[in-house]
Amino acid sequence: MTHPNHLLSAFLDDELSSEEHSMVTSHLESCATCSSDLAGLAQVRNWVRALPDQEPPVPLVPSLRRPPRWIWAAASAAAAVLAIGLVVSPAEPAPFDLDTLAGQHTARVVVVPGISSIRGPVGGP
Amino acid sequence: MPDSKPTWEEVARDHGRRIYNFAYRLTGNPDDASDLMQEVLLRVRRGLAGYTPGSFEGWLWRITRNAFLDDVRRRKRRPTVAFPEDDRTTIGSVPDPGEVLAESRLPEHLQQALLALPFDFREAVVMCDVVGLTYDEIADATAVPVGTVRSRIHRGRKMLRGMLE
Repeated sequence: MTHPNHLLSAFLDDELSSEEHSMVTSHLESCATCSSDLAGLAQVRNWVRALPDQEPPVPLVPSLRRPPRWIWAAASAAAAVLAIGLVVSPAEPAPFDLDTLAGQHTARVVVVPGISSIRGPVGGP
Repeated sequence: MPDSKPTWEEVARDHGRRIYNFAYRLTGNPDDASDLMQEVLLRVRRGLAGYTPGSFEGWLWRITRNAFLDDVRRRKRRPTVAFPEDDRTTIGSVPDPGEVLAESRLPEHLQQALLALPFDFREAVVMCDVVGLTYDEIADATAVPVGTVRSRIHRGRKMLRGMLE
């Protein structure tokens, strides 16, 4: 007797052709082994289908505003590399001459009596 | 939703939960599932302009599957979780499926068993029994013949049965 064991899951899911379905049905009437297998597969199928529905931890649409965790991890790693680079080899301050700097900038300041703020145009070269 | 082009909000509202549950059962991890769901919805938003109304389920689950596989490749590891030693002992010692069903920890054991399946089998079983896709839709999403889907689902269920009984 050839057992159509490989067709049993599709039989359960009603995914067989009508010919295959008839053949499996008639076989099951006389084969305790396949009937037992079918019951076991049906049990597993029921278990998986009964797995509790999981609630997404974040609202679906607003969640798109939050990048995936790996992006945060990559950003953190990049920031760490940058910080280490600054510590290990701090940028040398560019030397400047105070007179030259003063010559490149002018400011006109108006002091308003009684008010502790100043304002006015600032110009450069 | 197969005959017209959905908006992104409709996809997120109507399918986001299913995508999350698919991802959760595939990864066994709520954080990974959440990340995957977001990645899928982003890809859907980018891809909707080029979507031609037709097999929406196949299109959506192809995107979902590809996002998952890309994530696996990026992590350079399989998201499988080995059975803890205690669980192996517990599962192996349970003789009666009825008792297993009655056990409050069955979902945990079943999730562990799912994660122990080869990816192709796990994916087919989850698409069929968690997401509720037909064999044709699974074949479309995974780009394999329907006969292969039939075989993967059957072998996956047999392996689950062997692990749980």
